[in-house]
Amino acid sequence: MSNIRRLVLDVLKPLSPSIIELAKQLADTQGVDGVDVSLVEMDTKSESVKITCEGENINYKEVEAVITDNGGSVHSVDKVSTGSTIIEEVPTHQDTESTLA
Amino acid sequence: MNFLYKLTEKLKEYREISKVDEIARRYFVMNGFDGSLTILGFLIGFYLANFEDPVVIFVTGISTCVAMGISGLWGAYLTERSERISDLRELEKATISNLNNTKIGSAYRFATIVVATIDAVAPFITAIFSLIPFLFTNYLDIKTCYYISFVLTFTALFALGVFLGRISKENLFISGMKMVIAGIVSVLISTLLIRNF
Repeated sequence: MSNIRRLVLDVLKPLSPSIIELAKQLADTQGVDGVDVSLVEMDTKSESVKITCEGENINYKEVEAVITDNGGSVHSVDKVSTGSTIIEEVPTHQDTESTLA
Repeated sequence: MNFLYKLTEKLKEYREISKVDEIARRYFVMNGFDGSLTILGFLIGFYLANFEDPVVIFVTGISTCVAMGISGLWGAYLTERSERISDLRELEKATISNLNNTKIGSAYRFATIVVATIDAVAPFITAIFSLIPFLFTNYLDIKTCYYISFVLTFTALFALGVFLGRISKENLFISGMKMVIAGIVSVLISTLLIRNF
């Protein structure tokens, strides 16, 4: 089965541990080479973050376990890239038309 | 070594998540202050009554320390536990997930134990510090033991004030003296009450 190379997740987590701590722990996960965590929305006790992981062979279960252990929950898997190279999303006519409209 | 490093890192993480340092500091000063003032009142009572049996003073003092320690341990454990459980439930509502078996749940349990331990140890240490001179009655007369004990108690109060002054970055001497004044007030009121009894 081919490897997961990029993973984009929508996560709801408590304010503590911080996204710095979470990003560091995710980066330490086996198969993950780099992590980006961006704040999407902040509440008094929780925050929504977008997590992007890149690596040669990402283990989704391990990534999810790190998030869960830190009190977060994966709301949705927004993007997955697999295979020997990462393919970027290609804009189509429909996308261009909707953008123009 | 690797195990120790991992344990230290984990405890550091728990401290950060539970923000236990601030609460522990507060409990340490509050209960240390309680311990010092309680033992000061206890010693003033014995001193004004001209009580001269060091064994009774020391043993009664120790049992007072134990009682304060147990009171601190039980009270703080139950109070902190309830607060932490309530916080965890609120956080669970906000994140729509069960946090019991996460780092947050563990950090909260860790904080409860740390706070209860500090609450037990703080009055015990400050109070027992004041009783040390009564161990040396073979070399010192009882009045001298009382005086050294009073000096040690006021030193402990001053040190607690200095500790608070360091936290608030205020004048350390003034901060220390504020605690000492509480001790003086306690001595004056006790003396007035006992003299008029």
